[in-house]
Amino acid sequence: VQQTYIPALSTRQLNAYELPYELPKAEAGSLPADAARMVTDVLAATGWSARTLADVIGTTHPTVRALLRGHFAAMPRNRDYQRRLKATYEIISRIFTLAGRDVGRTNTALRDQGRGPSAVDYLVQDRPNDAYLAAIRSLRPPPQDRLIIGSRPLSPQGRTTDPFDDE
Amino acid sequence: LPKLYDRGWRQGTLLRAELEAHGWVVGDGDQPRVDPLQHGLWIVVTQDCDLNSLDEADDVTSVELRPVFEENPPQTLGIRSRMLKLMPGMPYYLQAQSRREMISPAGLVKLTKDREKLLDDVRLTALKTWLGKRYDRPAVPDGFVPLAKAIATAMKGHRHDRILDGVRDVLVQFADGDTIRVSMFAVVTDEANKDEVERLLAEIAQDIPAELGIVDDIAVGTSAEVSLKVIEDSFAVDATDITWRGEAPRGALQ
Repeated sequence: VQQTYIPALSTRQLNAYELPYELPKAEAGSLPADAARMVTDVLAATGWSARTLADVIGTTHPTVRALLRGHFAAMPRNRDYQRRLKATYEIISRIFTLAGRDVGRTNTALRDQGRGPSAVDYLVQDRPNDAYLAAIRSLRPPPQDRLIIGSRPLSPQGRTTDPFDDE
Repeated sequence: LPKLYDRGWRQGTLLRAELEAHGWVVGDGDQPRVDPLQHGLWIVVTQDCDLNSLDEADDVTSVELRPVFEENPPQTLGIRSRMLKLMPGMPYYLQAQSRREMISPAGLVKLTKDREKLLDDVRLTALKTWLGKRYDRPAVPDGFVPLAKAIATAMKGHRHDRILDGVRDVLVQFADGDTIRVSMFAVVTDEANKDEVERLLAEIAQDIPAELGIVDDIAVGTSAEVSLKVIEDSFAVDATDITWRGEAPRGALQ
């Protein structure tokens, strides 16, 4: 209801040919089926409970359980939870793959506080980019050297010179 | 006789002069013909040591100019990308595939209407690096092309982000496997906020479809902190493409 747009409130004019209100648009990726899949995948990748995931995305565990059943919660504590669920899913699905689809390693990477706040800490604060950085650095700690040298040099087959690389 | 250098000409001097650069094409009649290009804004790329040896009255075509473009400038400053943005906050940039113009010192002096020393020392170094590196770039192997295309697309989505003003270039390396893993490096100016750039790269990483590849390494450093090895061994990303001109990257062997 709070997200319902009523044009007359801002324009002070009524249009007889339009509905007097516009319901909020559903965003791609936030449909109940997608949300259910994301919740299922995140719980499977981490072994978390619905309550833990609820804490991470800033909602309640009944909301998470409702999503699992393919429903939107009627009165969620945090109306932004769908966006946060998607952000959390995007990160955890990648970390799960990088961790060899190992639930234990995934959890360790997400909860590692060795270099400061963990990925989970950042997710709770709704800072997904910092969460991603924290998680990948737990799995693949950056070298101590200040000089960045990389570790994946090109194969000789990958090298070529102009004009090959422009075509 | 005074040398061009004595008269204030330097590598990186921007000048206005209506010059005609020529290229050869095969036209409708299937006959090779000259294709002239009229252009008004140029930059001197001849090195200072050569400018210091050229008399201003010499009339041998010995000074190299590159056309400077202003429309649709790249977002990153560029080290190895096909375009080099000359200065942050200004639209001027060079294109690798543009025509070159050779002009004599006498012609340069006579035809130039206006000139200015645009580049500071840092950007002049960037110009030198770009001129040197353009011809030793790696090409993306076929197997990585969809991923490279996705990275370019993800970068494009952030092309208006002001954080990119402090980014000289973004470089990537790939590791093959069941899941392709990606290292992303940003080379930034000394003034850039590295934490912000790191977060931006992390955001871009999440925009890349995971089935194509996953970024597992992000590093940001100034030119003093990024090794020549990374510069030589990485693919260059800019806000519009990865080492290719055109709409999308294509395989090296296509």
